[in-house]
Amino acid sequence: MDIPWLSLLVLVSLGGAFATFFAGRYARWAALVVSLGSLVIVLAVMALFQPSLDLQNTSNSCAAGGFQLCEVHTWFTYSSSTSAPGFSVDYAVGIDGISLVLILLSAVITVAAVVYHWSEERDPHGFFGLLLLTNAGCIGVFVSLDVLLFFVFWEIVLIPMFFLIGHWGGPRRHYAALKFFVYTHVASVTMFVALLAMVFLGHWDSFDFVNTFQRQQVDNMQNIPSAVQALLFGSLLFGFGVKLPMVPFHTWLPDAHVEAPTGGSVLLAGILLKLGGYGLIRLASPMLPAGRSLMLPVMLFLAFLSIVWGAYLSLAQRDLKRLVAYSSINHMGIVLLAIALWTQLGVMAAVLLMFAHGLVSALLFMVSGSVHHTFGTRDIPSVGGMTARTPVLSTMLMIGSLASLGLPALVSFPAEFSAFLATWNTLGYWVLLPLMALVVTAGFYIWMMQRMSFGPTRGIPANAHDLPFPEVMGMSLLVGLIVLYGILPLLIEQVIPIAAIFGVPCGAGGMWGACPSLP
Amino acid sequence: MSFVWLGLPDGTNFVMGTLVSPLGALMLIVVNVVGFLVVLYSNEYMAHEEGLPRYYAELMLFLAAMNGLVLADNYLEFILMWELVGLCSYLLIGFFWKKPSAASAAKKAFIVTRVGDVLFFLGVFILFSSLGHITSAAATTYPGTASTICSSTDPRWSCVGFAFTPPNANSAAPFLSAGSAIQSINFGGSSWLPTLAGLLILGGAAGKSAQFPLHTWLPDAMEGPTTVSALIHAATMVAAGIYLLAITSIFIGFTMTTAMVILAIGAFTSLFAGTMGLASPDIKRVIAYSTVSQLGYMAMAVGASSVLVDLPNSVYANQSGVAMFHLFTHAFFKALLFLSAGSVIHAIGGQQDIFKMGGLRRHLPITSTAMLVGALALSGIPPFAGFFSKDDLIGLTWTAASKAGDPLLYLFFALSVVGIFLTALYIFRLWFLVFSGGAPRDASLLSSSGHGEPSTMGSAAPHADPHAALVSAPSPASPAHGTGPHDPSWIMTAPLLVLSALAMVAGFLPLLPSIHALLPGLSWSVFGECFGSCSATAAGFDQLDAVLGGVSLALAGGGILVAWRVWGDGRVFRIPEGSVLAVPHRILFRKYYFDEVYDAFAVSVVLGVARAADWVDRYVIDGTVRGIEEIFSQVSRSGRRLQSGIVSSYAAWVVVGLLALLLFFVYVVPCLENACHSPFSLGF
Repeated sequence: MDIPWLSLLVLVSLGGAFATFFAGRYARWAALVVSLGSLVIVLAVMALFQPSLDLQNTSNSCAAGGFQLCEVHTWFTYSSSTSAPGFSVDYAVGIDGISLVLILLSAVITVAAVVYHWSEERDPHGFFGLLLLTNAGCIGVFVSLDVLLFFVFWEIVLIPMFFLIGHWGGPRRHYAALKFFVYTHVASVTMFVALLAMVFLGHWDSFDFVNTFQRQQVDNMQNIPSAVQALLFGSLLFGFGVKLPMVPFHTWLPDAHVEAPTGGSVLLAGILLKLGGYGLIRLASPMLPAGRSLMLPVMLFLAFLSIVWGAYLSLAQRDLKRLVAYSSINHMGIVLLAIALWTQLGVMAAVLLMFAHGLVSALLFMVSGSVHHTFGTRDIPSVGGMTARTPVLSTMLMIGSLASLGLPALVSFPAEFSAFLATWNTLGYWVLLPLMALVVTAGFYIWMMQRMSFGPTRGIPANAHDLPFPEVMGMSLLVGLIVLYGILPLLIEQVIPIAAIFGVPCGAGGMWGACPSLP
Repeated sequence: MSFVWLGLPDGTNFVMGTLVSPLGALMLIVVNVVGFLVVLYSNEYMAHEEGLPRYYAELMLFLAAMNGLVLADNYLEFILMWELVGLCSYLLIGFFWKKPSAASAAKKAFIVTRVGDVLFFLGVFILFSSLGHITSAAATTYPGTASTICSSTDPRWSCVGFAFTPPNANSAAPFLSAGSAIQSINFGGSSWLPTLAGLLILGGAAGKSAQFPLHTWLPDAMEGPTTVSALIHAATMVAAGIYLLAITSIFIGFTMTTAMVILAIGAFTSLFAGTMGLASPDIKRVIAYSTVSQLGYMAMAVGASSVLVDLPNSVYANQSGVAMFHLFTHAFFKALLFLSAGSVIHAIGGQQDIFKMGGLRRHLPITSTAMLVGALALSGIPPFAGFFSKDDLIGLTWTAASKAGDPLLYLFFALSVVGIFLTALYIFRLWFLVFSGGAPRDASLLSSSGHGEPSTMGSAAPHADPHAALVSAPSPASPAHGTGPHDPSWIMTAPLLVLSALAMVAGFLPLLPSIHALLPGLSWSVFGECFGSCSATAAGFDQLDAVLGGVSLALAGGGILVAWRVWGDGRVFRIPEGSVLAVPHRILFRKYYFDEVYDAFAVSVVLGVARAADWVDRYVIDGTVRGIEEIFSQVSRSGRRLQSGIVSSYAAWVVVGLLALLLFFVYVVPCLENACHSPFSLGF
C-alpha cells in the first residue's frame, strides 16, 4: 500500500496546529505530540528516501525530475479565453535531498522550541498552535512542487509569525510585527508577480514546476529575452533575498528578532530564513539561467556585502539578540554566495550551511531568551561573569558561539569549509573576504563571551537561577545534533547531493547520480 | 585506518585517517612524556583550585587534539585538530575566568591565532586546487591506506596530505628523498602561487607558534595556570606551528622565496623576543619570551633547510630534523623551566616579580638546581641538551647562508648569533635574581607558607602588573607545610627530576638509531665533528662549523658572566632615570608597543568602523525603509482627507473624473491605435 507520506506530514502538522488551538490546558502536550509526530514522519521519509534513482524508466514526470515520494493531483484547471488549451494547478508534492534536509531541520527545531517553551504561561494554546502552524507552512513550502501551492504555503508562514511577534513579543512588538509583515509581504508579492510572469512568459501548461524541466519547457524558458529574465530574476532575488535576509533588505530582521518571543526567534532564524535560500535554489536560479548569469554580479556583490556587513555590525551590537541576528545575516550571506556560484559544490555547501545555521542560530536564540529572563536584560556590557551563577547557561552560550564561529567538530565547520572551498574554486581570491569575516566573527563571539561569561560577576539579580529543565532539554537536543553532525557530517551531507537540481552542471558520476539527464 | 568524512559532489572525498610519520612519532614522544609529567605535577600544584574536573577534562582534550594533529594524514584533518588545539589553549588560558586579565588573555590568544588560521586555510585551498581537484570518475573512492603513493597530479584530498611517502618509521631514507615536492606540483604554470601558498602556511604557523608579528598572545597566555604554560610552551600549542612547517617542508616543500622569509622571520623573532625577555620583571613572562625566541630558532632552521634544498643543483636533502631536534630538547628544558618557576611561585605564595625574590636557593634546593639545569640547557652549555640542538641549528643556518651567498642571510644569521648571547643573559638574570644572594628583597616572602597558584579563582589581583604592591596575603600556614618557602612534595619534584635528567641527556639521544631515524637530515655533530650515523648532508659541515660552535659557546658563557656581574649575588641593577639606557628599557618594557598598536587598531579602526556601519545601518538603510513607510502613510493621510462626507465635493470630483475620462478616450485611445488627433481638434 502506498502511504502518501508527504501529505500525511503536511496534514499532521497543519491539522495538529489547529487542534492545538483548541487543546486548552493540554496545549503543550498536544504540541509535543504533534511536533514529535511530524518528526517521526520525517524520519520515516528519510528511511524511505532512495539514495539512487532510475530516472530513465519512469513515466511519472515528477519522479523523472528526480523527486521522490511524489504525489501529483490536479487541484483545479481553467481554460483561458484565447490560445492556451487549458491550464492546471496541481497539488504536487515530492522531495529531493535538499527538501529532505530542510524538513528534517524544520521538524527538529519545532520539537526543540516546543520543549524549550514547556512552561509557557501566556496563552499557551495560541502560542504552541502558532509555532506548529509556522512549522506546517515551512514544511509545505519545502515539499510543494507547484508554484501556486508553494506560494500558498509561503504566505501561511507569515501569519503565525506575525501574531507570535505581535502578541507574545517585547515592548515594541506591534511595530516589529507590522514591519516584519509588511516588509516580507511586499517581498512575497514581488516574488509572486515574478513567478506568474515566469509561468506565463514561459508558456507553461501547468503551475507544476516539475514539468518545466522537460525539454520543451526549458526551451520555452530560453525564449524569454535575457533582459526580461534578468528583470524576473532580480524580482525573485528581492523576494527571496528579503527572507534570507540580504543586505540592504535586512533591517526588519533585527527588529523582529529583538521583539519576538524566544520560540518565534528560534523558528524565524532556524527555519524561516531558509525559505529564501530554498526559493533561490529551487525556483529562481534553475528556471532563469540567462537572468541568473546577467544578475550574477549583483548577487555576488550583495552576498559579499551581507557577509562583511553582518559580521561587522555584530561587532557593534550591545544587545545579545541583535548580535546573533546580525551574525545570521553574515551566515546567510555565505549561503547566498554559495548559491550564486551555482556549482554542485556551492549548492551542497549552501544547503549544508542552512542546516548548520538553523541548528546553531536556534540554539543561540534560545540562549538569548534565557539570558533575558534570567538576568532581565540582554545588554552585553551590563551582564558579566555569569558562569559563576548560571554555569549551564554559560556553557550553552559557549557551545553556540563556538559552533557559530565555525569551530571544527561542530556542524558549521564542514558547511563553511565547503562553502569557502566552493568559493575558492570559482572565484579564487575573493574567498579572502569571507575568510576575513571569519576572523571578525570569532572576534565578536569571543569578545562577547569575555564580557558576559567571564570576569567578575556583575549585573546578575539575586534571584537569578540556572536554566530550568525544559530549557536545558530543548537546547540539549540541538547541541546533540550540532556535535553529531559536526563529527560525522557525512550523515547529513550525503543526502543533499541526491538532489533534483536543474541547471547545475552535473558531474561525472559521484554522488550526484540523481542529476537528471535531459531527454 | 581511514574513513570518509565529507564527500564532495565532484567525487572528491575528504578522509580522516592516521599516519605515523617519523616526525609524528617524535612529536608523540614529546607530547605524551611532557603531558604525563604535567598532569602528575598538577596533582599537587592545582590541588587547591576549584573547577578541577574542568581543568583535567580540558587538559586531556588538549593532549588528545595534539595527538590527533600529529597523527593526521592530511591537511584537512590537521586543520580540524589544529583548531581544537587552539580551542583548548583558549579554554585553559582562561581557566581563571573570574580574573579579567585571564579572560582577556584567552580572547587575545584565540583571535590572534585565528588570524593565522585564516591564512593557513587559504594556503591549503591553494594547495588543494593546485593538485587538481577536477577529477575523473575513477577517483571517487579513496583506496583506503596511506601506503598509496600519490602522484603529483593525484586529485584526492589525502594527497594534499602527508602521504607522499610510505610511513616507515625505521627508515629515514624515503623521507630524505622526498625533497621538495612543490617543484613537481603543477601550479598551473604560476611561479608565485607556490610561494604564496607557502607564505600563507607560514602565516598559520606564525600564529600558532607566536612568531613575529603574531607573537603578542603568548606572553599574555601566562594568565593560565603555570602547568598549562608548561604544556603550551613545551609540547602542545606552539609546537604545532613548527611541526606544520617541518612536515610541509618535507612533503610539499617551500620555494626559495618562502624559505628565505621563514628563515628571516625565525631569526628576527629569536633576537626580538630575547630583547623583551631582558626587561620583563615577571618570572613566567621571561620564560615565555624565551619560548618565542627558541621557536624563532626552530623556524629559522626549517627555513635554512629549505633554502639548501632549493639551491640550484642542490645536493641537499631536507634537514627538518634539525629544527625538530631543537623542538625535542626544548620541550624538556622548557617544561622544566616552567614547572620550576611554578614550584617557586607555589612556595612563596604566588609572587611572580623576580625583583622581590632573591636568595631562594637556600630554601628551594631542588627547585633551584632543576632550574639551573634548565637555564644551562637553554643557554646552550654542554653537555646539556640545548647545546647540541642549537649548535646544529646555527651550523645549518651558516651553511645555508654561505652556500646561497646572500648577504641578507648572513645578516639574519648574525641576528640569531646575537640571540645566543641574549638567551644566556636573560635566563641567568632570572636565575640570579631569584635564587642568588642572601635573602629575598621582599622579606614577607619568607613568611609565606606557599601552596598558592597566584591566580587563585577568588583573588583578582593584578599580578601581571610589576608595579603593583605585593598583594598576595600569606595564607595561614597549614601544619603540613611548616614555615617558610620549601621544596614541594615528590609529586611536584618527581617531574622536575625527570625533566632535569632529560634536559641533560636529550642531546645525546640521536646517538640511538631509533631516535635518529625520527630526525630526517640531522647530523649529530660536536664542533664540526660528526658522530654516530650522519647523513650524506654532513658534507655541509666543515672547519668553520667547529669555529661556530666555539663562538656560540663563548657567547653563551659571556652572557652568563655578564648576568652574574650585573644581577649575581643579590645585586639588583636598576636603570637610573634619564640615563641613555632608560629609553630602550622603556621600549622593551612596553614590548615595543605592539599591544598598544594592536589594541588601538582593534578598538579605533575595527570597532570604530563597526560603530559607524551600525549608524549607517540604523539611520540610512533602515531610515530609507522608514522613509518609504512615511511616504505611504502621508499619501494615505491626504487621500483620507478627500473622504470629507460633503456631497457637493463628491459631485465636483465626479465631474472632474468624467472630464478626465472623456479626454482620455478622445486623445489618448486613438493615439494608442496610431490615429492621434491634433490637440486642437475635437476629433468627433
